[in-house]
Amino acid sequence: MRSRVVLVRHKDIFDNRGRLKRPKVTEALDAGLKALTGDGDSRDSLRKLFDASGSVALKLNCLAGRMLSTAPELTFSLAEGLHSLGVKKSDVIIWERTGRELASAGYSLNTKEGDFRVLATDSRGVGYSRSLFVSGKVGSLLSRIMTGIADFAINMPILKDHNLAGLSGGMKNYYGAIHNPNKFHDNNCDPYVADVNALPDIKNKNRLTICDCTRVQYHGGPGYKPQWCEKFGGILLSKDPVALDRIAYNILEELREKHGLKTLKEEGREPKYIFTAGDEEHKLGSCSIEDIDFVEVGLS
Amino acid sequence: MSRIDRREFLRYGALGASSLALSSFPFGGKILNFCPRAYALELASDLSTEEARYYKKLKDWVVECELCPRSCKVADRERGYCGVRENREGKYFTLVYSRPCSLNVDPIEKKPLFHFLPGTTAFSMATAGCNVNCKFCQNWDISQVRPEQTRNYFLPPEELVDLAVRYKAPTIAYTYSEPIIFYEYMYDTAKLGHTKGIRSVMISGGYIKEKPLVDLLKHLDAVKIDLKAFTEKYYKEVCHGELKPILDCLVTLKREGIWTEIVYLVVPTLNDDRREIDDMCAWILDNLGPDVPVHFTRFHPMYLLKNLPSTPVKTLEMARRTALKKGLNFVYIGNVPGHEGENTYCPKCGKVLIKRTGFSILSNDVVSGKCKHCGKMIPGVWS
Repeated sequence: MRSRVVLVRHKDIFDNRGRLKRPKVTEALDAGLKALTGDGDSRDSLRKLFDASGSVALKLNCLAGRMLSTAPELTFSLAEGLHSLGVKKSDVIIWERTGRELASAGYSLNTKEGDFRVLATDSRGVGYSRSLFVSGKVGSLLSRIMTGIADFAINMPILKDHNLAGLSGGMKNYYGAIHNPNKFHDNNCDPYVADVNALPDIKNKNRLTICDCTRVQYHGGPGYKPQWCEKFGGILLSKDPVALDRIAYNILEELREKHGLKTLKEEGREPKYIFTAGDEEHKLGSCSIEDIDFVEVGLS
Repeated sequence: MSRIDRREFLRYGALGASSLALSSFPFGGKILNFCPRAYALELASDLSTEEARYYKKLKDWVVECELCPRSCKVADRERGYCGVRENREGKYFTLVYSRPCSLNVDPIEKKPLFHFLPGTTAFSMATAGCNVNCKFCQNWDISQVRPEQTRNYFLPPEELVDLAVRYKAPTIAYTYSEPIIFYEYMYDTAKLGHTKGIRSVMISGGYIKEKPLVDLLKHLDAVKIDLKAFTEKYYKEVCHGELKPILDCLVTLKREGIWTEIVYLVVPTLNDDRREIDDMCAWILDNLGPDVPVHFTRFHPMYLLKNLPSTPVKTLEMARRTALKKGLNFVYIGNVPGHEGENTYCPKCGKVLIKRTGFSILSNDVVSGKCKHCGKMIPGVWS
């Protein structure tokens, strides 16, 4: 079965002070969801992926602070979209590894009844699973948000260069769900990223990846380096996490070429884990461009 | 042992709500009673920001750690393999300085150190973190986690030394996890301890670069090294480490003249081959001499190696025989309480010098560092 990846780029998504315009972000998200599923209404697109009576965890990436984290404009647009389907606000769980990282990206922890929940694994009463989960070469505790609190998950990473992994996109973002990510960065994170994403609570619960490409760090990541960060104005969506990363890899290489940088492979940082994730052992998705329908949507 | 209770916690200025601790903290209450300036830390933001002492700055805010042979190249906002050192805008910090998560008073025999002040206690401590990832780790709930995931105390070197004095422990043991990863804390504590008559021993896997090791040895009194196997394959596949740097470390310890003992955890089917043990003993004999004690200890299923049985005692006995036959003088069997291989025998007259069961000393015939029966000098630190 072929995989579909949608890239929506909006020419008018930033205001003249470089801030995201929430209505335009919502417009881009809406267009992306519709293009992904072929539905005329993005709510129908989401409805196909989730049972509205369940809880949905949105995994952000907030490591690099406000300028290079999953934008709140995108996160809350999606959260509102889920709520419009009938998902209770308190069943939408916006989360990251630590409260410190969430705060640095402009999110406030929130557990108020009747509101979207903003949680971290280090929030009171959350924590990690008591049991180890083993997948391939990975043995880890998993955030209880993935093992117990949420029924479904949407991965909401950003797209950036990573000095060890090569690329940090969708699958790498789930390093933020395990307790020991520092153990799994050798060999450009291969096969570890694939092994983490093969953990049943991640593989089975994650229904969608929505990668915030409004700003893309094409070199010098994973921290924010303004000299290598481009206002790309895009959102990348797919139900196939491997296919999304495969397209993201192309985007990153195109930006690197445009700016006269070596390829990741030439720098010894090829994200091999993408291909491992698509291999016969892992079967997490399509890693071959030939098997991916790449749809580009332009908005202005 | 008592757990810290809520009243104590609040009395001594705890900072926040209940923690996400994975490990128990059995000594906590007593520590607060004895050391009122110590207090529990509950927030991730309470981690240390002591600058690391062995690293170099590369371009674009990347740093290269120079503490262990892994030489992690760490980008801004990222951590090294150990999980307790973090790059913040091109500056490298240890997050666990003065932040122990585990404290106990143990018999020195538990380390195990059999030729170092037998029958005494060691004030034993650890922080979270480790620079390898052994599939058989007994303490993985503190060694294989980040410091945010353990319950930590604020206990600077002077308080730690003070605790050892109060508990009448002649030695502080840096142990349980991997002390190399809390190097700065260990270094400062050991140095201060010497000024107050407290000795320091490092219980380690030995995965450290030579320069920091030599600098540290000035302030240590003994070292126990886990030589986990004698093949690179085992180190790579079971420990995610390397053998060669450990052998280099042992040679450095010998050269620097610090008292050293070796532990070899015998894991069924993985490192229990007689030839491998024979090769290792030959290497020890050639490079360290016959007097370094070697402890063959029993494995029990743990962490990521639950599919293997405990080591048969006869396998340990085979290893001990192999080592004695090779010419090593002090070879022990560990984790088999009551076994004759726990005793120290005089290599000259063959009589029992120190009779042990478990971590207890039943009799000790080492007098002024010599065999009471034949007068042979017995290597070790006896007073």
